[in-house]
Amino acid sequence: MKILGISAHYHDSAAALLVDGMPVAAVQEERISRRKNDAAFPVGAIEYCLNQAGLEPEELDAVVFYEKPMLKFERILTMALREWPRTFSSFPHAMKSTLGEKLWVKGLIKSWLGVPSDKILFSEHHRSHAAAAMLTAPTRDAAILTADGVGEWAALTVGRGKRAGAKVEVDLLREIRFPHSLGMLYSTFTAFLGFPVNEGEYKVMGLASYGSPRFADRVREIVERTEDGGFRLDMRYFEYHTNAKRSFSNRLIDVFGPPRAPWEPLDPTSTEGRRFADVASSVQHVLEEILVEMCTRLRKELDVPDLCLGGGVALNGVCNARILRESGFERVFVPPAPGDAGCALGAALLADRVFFGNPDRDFPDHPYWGPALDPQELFRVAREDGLPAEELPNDDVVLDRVVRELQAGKIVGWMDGRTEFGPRALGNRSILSAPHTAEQRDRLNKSIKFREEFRPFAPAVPTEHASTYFELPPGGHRLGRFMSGVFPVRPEHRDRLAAVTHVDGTARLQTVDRDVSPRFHALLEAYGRKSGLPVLLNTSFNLAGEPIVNRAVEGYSTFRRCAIDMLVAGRCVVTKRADRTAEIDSGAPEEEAGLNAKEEAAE
Amino acid sequence: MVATYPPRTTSPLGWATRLLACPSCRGALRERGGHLGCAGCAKMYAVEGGTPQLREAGDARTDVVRDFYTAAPFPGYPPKDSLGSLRARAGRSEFAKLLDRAIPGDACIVEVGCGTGQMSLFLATANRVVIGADLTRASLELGASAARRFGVERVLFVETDLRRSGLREGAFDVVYSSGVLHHTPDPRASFAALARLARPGGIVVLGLYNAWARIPHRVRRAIGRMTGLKYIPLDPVLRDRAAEPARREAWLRDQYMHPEEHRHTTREVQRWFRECGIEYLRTYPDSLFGGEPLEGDALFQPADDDWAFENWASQVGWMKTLAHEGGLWVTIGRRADSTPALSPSESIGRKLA
Repeated sequence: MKILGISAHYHDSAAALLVDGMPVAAVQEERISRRKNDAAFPVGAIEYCLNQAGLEPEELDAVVFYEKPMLKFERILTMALREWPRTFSSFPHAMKSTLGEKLWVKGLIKSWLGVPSDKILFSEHHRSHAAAAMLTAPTRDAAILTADGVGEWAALTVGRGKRAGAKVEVDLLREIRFPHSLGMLYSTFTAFLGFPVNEGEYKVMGLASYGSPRFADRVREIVERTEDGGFRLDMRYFEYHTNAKRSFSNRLIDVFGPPRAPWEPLDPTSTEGRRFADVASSVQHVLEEILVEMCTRLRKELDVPDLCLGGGVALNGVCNARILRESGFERVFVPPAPGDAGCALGAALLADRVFFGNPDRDFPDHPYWGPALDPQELFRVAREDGLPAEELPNDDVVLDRVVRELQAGKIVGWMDGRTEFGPRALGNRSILSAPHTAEQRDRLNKSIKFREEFRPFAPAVPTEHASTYFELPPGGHRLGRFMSGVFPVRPEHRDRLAAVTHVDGTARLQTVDRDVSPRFHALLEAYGRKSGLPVLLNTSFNLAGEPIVNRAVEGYSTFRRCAIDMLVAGRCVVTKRADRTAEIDSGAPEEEAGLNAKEEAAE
Repeated sequence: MVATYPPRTTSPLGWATRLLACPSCRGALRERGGHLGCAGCAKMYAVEGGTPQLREAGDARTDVVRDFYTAAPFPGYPPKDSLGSLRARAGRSEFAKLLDRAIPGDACIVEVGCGTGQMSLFLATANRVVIGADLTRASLELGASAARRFGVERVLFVETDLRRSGLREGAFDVVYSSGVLHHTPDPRASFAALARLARPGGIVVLGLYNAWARIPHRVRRAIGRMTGLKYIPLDPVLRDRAAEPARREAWLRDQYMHPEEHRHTTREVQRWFRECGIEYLRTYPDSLFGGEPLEGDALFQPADDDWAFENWASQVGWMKTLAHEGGLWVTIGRRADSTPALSPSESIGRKLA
């Protein structure tokens, strides 16, 4: 069966294609359309998926949308009525945005793809999350916890997935409904701390390490625990359910002080910066507390050793690591795309395994489902642009060159194979650098990424060496596979891993498997042989505000617009030429020389 | 052991001397024992705190403007500033983002009238080199100290006067000047000097007060002046800055007490462009009706159309959309590949010199 999964309209839209139960392609629309967090109907992503399989839309057996728009609309209407008249000003806005194309997804799919209505299916938001987490993981029987901002009604669910022979089940047991949402809680504080919602959450997590949770009690007052193990938000502190512009209320400001303006400098060593760091730390602390406790209960209740985490909250690596350490689960699985984009894949899997009852298949355990790289493209573009591009004879020569450059402190743009599905660059579209010094981190920050100083960079390390340099609990390797966990760097190595060690001595490492990405693994090994430390700094290949690069031309354009020293695509290598100013003639301008000559001739 | 990467430039003046010229004879400059010496006329120029002083005695009206800015460098830096927050502030401006996107990663850029240098620092990323030029030493010192604090190496601030500038003509890929020429005694002549800095094929980005868009502000100012600047109605920037007296004062001085101010129209600027051999590309904001929002590197692409009536009507519309921030609009052009013939008056002037 050929099943297309689609997620769209809220943050990052995406498409994923299954053929006979196996994934063929999955990609976020932003990588194709080049608009960061593109939420439009993912035409480009769908087109890529179909092309990859050589299919026409009419050959599809089913198209699955990741959630139920009508249920969502019901929630928006209900909330608007329930909070009336405070929703007076946001109501027209909410209606306009929903009644546009978001509600008429069936018609939209029909008109774009020309498939008949009976082939269009709708999953449920959190069930798609659950399936994306459970059915992509190498487990047969697992507990599931999904948490995000909000889906239709649910904001957090727990459930259980079973893959027993031919029969696959993904069942949600309980849910906590909007407006009581951990995702919204975290986003509200993201906005309070002056970061953009839906992408600034990482910054809150990074900032949290600088503070102490001295406001934790006040946050606990806002998030009241209930006897059944759930929680309830005190909505007097929030406005996201009534106001389209601001998500927190004046009461929250009374408790935590004035919010930070996005453009104000944030220095965690100043008094004011310290307050923001403490707020971040307190929220992070309470989030961890709640989730760890819920997972512990779930472990006791279901008595299975595996846990699958889904939803945007599963991107919180600090929290994931704590769940692994403290909740009693032996293995914790977080998919490479736990957010809404991953729901496209989840919905397709759910339709295939559960709805159609097709035989269960093991899901290949890697994130590389996007468009493949064409190194020749780089070769052509660089030539046209006048930069020296070389095609090296074999991989050994490439690795040798790259290692040499990295050792000299150069920054390398590394492109290889297919684009990652999900928000993280896992060695196919990465910027690499030596991980040893804080100066190197500052250089990356200043000349390429323009991140705040308090945001750490991540290391990549071969799986077999991970425990040498990082303190991993049992199961930690697996969490590191898609950069889903934050773990302590071993104290004796912190000095030499300064660029990737956060202020609290931790790192969000990626463990690289030889089987999953052989070339990246070989590069790390080669670097290890030369420098004695098989670790590289790995950050996503993009500039601030842009999506991660996909095609070689985009990599090249990014390379030209920032201080990356060397670009590698497959075996094609491009380096920058010397300073442009050297080309300027330092003598008198020609124009004047000509003029003088003419004057002299006239005399 | 891993070698540390050598700093990109040992001395900022190293690369920058090639972008500078002697203000009196336009000869090449050489670095000599902490000074810059002219290879042509042997004049020496001081380099104080890393900022070359390439300035000849100016005229009285220019000195008034210099004194005005010396008294209060504009726009200044907030305390505890960092490169990150500077970029965050710049990121609020759609124009700054488009400009950054459109300028190639290895361009030579000059900002004429850089003030305290925020835009220069913002643009000095990747492999670009930026010269920030200004009249006022006090402003440049703030910029240079911010560059040191933020660790921005590829920017050099230069004290110079546009009309007799210490900048090399025909050397720059991008010449950027915003909110400056309308404060010079003769904006048209200043523009001619500015345009010559661009290399053939180089881009000129010029921001000026618009004659139409500035009307609401002038009404505001007239009322303000009648009351001795005690009552100024409806200035949103002043209102926003009510809680920050220093920044409020800076805006008040810049917008209400400036000793020299001119205003211009799109037509006038297009005429300047023609006179100087600059091919008109577009304006920002777009002077086309219903134009699509610009994306990617579109800022340096020619506009779809250039119709005088449309331009005029847009300017009238800017009274509403641009007036709240002083009515500044930007015109972008590209210097023609072949150097235009000098106008008769200019070539005579040169002969006499």
